[in-house]
Parts: sequence; C-alpha cells; structure tokens
Amino acid sequence: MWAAQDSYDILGTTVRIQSTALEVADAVRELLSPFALPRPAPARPRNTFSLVRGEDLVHPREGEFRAYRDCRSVGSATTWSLAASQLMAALNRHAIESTDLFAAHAGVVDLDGGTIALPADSGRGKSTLTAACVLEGFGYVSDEALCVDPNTGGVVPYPKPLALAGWSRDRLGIGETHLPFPPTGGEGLVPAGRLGIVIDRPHPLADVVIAEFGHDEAALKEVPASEAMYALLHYSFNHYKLGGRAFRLAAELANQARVWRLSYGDPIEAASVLRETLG
Amino acid sequence: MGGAGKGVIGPPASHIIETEIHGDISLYDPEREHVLVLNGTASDVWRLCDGEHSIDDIVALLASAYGAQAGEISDDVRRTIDQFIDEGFLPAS
Repeated sequence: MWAAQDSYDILGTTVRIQSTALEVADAVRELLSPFALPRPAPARPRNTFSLVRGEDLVHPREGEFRAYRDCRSVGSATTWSLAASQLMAALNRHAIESTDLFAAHAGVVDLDGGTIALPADSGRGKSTLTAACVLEGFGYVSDEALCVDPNTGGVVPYPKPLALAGWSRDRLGIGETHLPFPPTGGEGLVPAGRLGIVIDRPHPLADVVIAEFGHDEAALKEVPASEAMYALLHYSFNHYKLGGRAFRLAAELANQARVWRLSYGDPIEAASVLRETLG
Repeated sequence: MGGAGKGVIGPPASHIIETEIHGDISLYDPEREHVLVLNGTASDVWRLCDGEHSIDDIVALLASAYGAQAGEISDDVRRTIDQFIDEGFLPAS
C-alpha cells in the first residue's frame, strides 16, 4: 500500500512519514530533509504520520486526500497541498509536545555568528518576518520555536518548512517555484533550503527581538533584559515541564542576550533594520 | 491582605527561586507559576528581607545607602514589602 516510508528525527523524537502516492513522497522528503534519518526506523505507536489518497482507502473516496497520525485522522482535504499542511501541523504539535528541550514560540535566525530569537504568538507575522530575514541573508534556524537544551543552554535547530500565507508570499516575492506543493488559496509550505542557508549548528543566543506587527515604519529600540525573560516564559510551550529550570534558563538567556522591541509594518523593511542594527 | 509589621521581615519561603538579570533580582514561585521582576530599588529591599531585619531597619539601611531621609522612602519600602507578601514571595509578618 505504501509508496514511500521515511524516518525523521524531529527535536529528539523519531517519526515515520508514509504516503500512498509516490508523487507526494519527494515533496515531503524535501520539506523534511533537515530531519532525515539515513535508514527507516521501526514504526512505533503514536509516531507514524501518513498521507493517503482517497482512492487508496479501504472505503475509497475519490477526490479526497487524508492525513493521519497513527490510526487517527488529523485532516481531510481536496488537495495534497492542504493535506500536507494538516500533516505538518500535526507533526509540529507532536514534536513540541514530546521534546525535552525548552521551547518558546519564536522565529529564530542567525546573523554573523549570533542567534536571534523573535518571540511572538501565532498569526502575528512571525513566519513572514523570519522568511524576510532569511531572504535578507540571515541563516534559518526555525520559524516556529526557539529550542534550547536545558542542560547546556545551547540553541537547537528546528528548521521546519515555513508555512506562509498567500499575502506573505506575494510580499516577499516567493513564487510557486519555491513550493513543492502548489498552494491552493491558503497557506503554502516552503522548504527551508529554498529560501536561504539553513543553520544546522546554531550559535549562542545573542539577541531577543520582541516584534510587534501593525505599525507604519520599522523602529528598533533596546529594552531591559528582564523583558526577554518575560517573553521567553510567556511564549514558552513547555516551561511547566521544567519548572524552576525553565525560569533559570530564561534568566540565563536574558543575561547573555541583547534585548530589543521592534515595531514594524513591512517585514522586508523590518529585516533590513535588523540587519543594519544587529549585524 | 498582608501587612509589614514591626517584627523581622522574611526570610522568603524555601521554594521561592531567585536569580539575577543584569544585577536586578527576578523571583519565581513554582507552586503558583508566578514570576516577579524587581527593579533596582525593589531588589535592594528584597535583599534585606532575610529574616534578620525589621522594616524600620530596612528603611534606615536603605536611607543611609541612598543618602535620603528615612521618611522620604519609608512609604515606598513598606509598599514594596507588602507587595512581596501579597504575592506570596514573603510570609506574612
């Protein structure tokens, strides 16, 4: 039944991705290439994600494309692109829930030997700003999470594919040739490697930029380090797992980084301002 | 509500975690998942809430350190200590 089965290590969790259609296997492989394992790992409960064409179901459904985590449906769509987006969202949730790393909701880029975290909530322009920075020449670490080893304080890369809405792609000049799956009106998945350099060994955290979208012009000002600690804990996915260690880690990161507030309207202008000031 | 009396202030509950960011103290109560970031003055007050000093001692020490009159800073010091108590970082006196 499975045309392709591949294994990946995502934030310390091994997952298997399989699909019934060969035409999607190459696209998925490119999207997840930074996480690829050299050999397929044994399938384990709760760690197998599947893309299934409707015609391949036990009860065939023409025109449908389904995403599953183990035996549970995580999405049903009318195109491979939408089904792949649903699968990637489920995969992301699983990776973040499972990891032992401290993880805070943030875009993360690299500039001149320093890692820059851009903490923000979903839907606040984080991925678009991250993509704009990568196109400006920053290295790509993640558009989803600042992941830090609580034992060493080191930044761990999480270069998942960037999920960009249509208006973001238009503003950044990211055409359909950048997308393995043609977008169908909504979010498009952009493999990390198609935008710029992917950083596989991030440098220590050097800057925390608390970004706020919705202003006219880009402005960057330095603020007290304590704002970084608040931001990292506020946007943390899993500080409850680490308790006091998360607090101390956030304080250590705040102590070592410069901390800024960025207000901006246009992500390209914002990326340029960041490059000028932080470079 | 808490109130700072004439006995010694503190020490903090043993589960309170304290760290410094660029010289200013930050506090974390893991039982309530509550973080409090102190500015420089509040950090100085906190350092004296060690179970060894009364509030009058704290006011006098800080007034001397800042070159101020005790009366000028007493209200602010009391409010700060009351906040520590109200937010659970210090036991009520």
